[in-house]
Amino acid sequence: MSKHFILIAMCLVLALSLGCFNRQTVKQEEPIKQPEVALQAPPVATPPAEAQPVVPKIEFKTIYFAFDSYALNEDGKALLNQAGGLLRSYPDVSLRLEGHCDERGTAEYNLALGEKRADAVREYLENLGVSRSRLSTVSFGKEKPAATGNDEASWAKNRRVEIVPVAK
Amino acid sequence: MARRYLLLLPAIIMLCQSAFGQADVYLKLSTSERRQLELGIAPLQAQDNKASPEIAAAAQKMLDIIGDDLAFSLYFKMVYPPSLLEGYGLKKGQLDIGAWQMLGARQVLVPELKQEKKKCILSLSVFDLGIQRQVFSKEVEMDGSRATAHAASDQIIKNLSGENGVSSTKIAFSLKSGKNKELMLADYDGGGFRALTNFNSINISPDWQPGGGSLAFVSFYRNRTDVMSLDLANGKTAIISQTEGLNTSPAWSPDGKSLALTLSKDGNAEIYLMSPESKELRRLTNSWAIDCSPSWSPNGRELVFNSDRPGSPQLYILDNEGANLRRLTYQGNYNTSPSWSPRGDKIAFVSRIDGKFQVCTIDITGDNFVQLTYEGDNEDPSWSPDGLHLCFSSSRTGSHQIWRMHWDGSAQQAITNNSGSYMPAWGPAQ
Repeated sequence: MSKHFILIAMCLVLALSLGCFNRQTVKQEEPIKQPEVALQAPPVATPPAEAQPVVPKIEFKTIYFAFDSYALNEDGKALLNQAGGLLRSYPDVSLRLEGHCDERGTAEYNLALGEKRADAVREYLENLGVSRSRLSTVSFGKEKPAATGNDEASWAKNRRVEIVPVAK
Repeated sequence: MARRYLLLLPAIIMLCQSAFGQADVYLKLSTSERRQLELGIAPLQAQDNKASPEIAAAAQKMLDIIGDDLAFSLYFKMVYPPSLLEGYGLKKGQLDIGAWQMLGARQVLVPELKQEKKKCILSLSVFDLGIQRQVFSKEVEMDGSRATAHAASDQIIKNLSGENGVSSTKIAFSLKSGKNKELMLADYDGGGFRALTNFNSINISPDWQPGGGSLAFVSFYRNRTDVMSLDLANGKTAIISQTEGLNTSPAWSPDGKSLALTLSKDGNAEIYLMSPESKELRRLTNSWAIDCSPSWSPNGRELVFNSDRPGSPQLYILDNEGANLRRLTYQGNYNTSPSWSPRGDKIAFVSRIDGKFQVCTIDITGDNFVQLTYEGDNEDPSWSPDGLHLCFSSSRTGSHQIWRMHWDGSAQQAITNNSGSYMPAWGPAQ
């Protein structure tokens, strides 16, 4: 019996000391590299070339939303009913639905919220019979405000979906 | 007989642990748990008192940058002379040990301007008042470059504290330019400002690739959201994600092998991991809710992100395979913009409190919700690479600027003063 205990104790002590030896010491000395002084400023990135599309001349009214919401109110639905009518008269017109938010809140979260607003408008138009292939959505989050004030009057004007006609 | 051995056992174990445990070095988040070194900076002297006013002014500028770097690093308790009298703390060019000890200094940085073969040199020596010996010495060429001063600061920090400083790190951010936003790069103290893009469009959400060679960012150049990469050495850009719908919130994994993204191509905003070479996507979230703004844990195993699945935006954590989802925040009804500390134990984020947006931190366990800012709207926090400091944007002065502060909210200070700066990303030294 006592032999067992001595054996277990010795094994434990051995294991512990081996464990201790495995701990790594943190190296203190590390050479610090001097940053290279550039001979000239690195080039500033220029934009890739893009062709500009031709835009048809019809106007659609902007749809507005309540704070933190992407639900269409009665005014919005009425405007979209009219838009549906216009789209039936102009079958060659497609729409880009641009979702926006007011300046409050996180930029990245607002990009997703803007998209939800644009999606809500698209879904409503689809239910009116407009083909999905004529409807594209994009979100600008809070990056492109229509009104630049820092009050509710301005914010209300920024929580919107702009309906932009584009060539099919 | 057996009992006696049993009693000895814990004593033997403890003996072994204490004998070999000294070798461990552990990092602590709070520098109040780490003793700060009391460091004084002696006034600048010119060797043989020969120095033109221009050279002396340039040297003082470099010294000011170094002093600010050392003070901000949190490794030192800076000891300042009580008066600005020239020559304080120096007796006939020699360090007045007694005077500095009276102020509480343990070491003193002694700067001296020298001329060597037509080159102006700023000599920096550190004198230990206890052992009364020089413990560090460095000669810096007076090339007038902020980078040289910052590099010297990091060498001093490394030598005196054993730690890697952040004096040479950079902050990328988005600068308002009329109706556009262009990416800018500045030193972590706001100096050395330069433009990175000239796209005449909106460019936001910069994110550093580990190694610091490139940035991923969101560009509206094509009138939609695309995630692009920008090589910092040659200015070359490339589109790395252009799926249908949203391409936003790029976040490089700590090993650089994976780019987390918010994409809405499958119906609504979800988080995906993209392999940069193959462009292969792996979907991590699957919910009707908005899921966005991912940020990686430093070991790359988990991500914290933003979801409004409970009805309003909150923070959630899941692993890099999309499993083990757990909610992190329960306080307040708007918690967004998470950033996981490089130290692993805290997450900085934005919380809407009393209608205003504030930068807060929370432990990864969900405990210790701490509010760090109180004035204006404060957004988009980003940690320094050593996890001791944060940068963020604040509107408290009337316009959005980039601010920095320590991990506990102390020493808040603006580092930009321009037409409007947003969405900073604190990156490695370049």
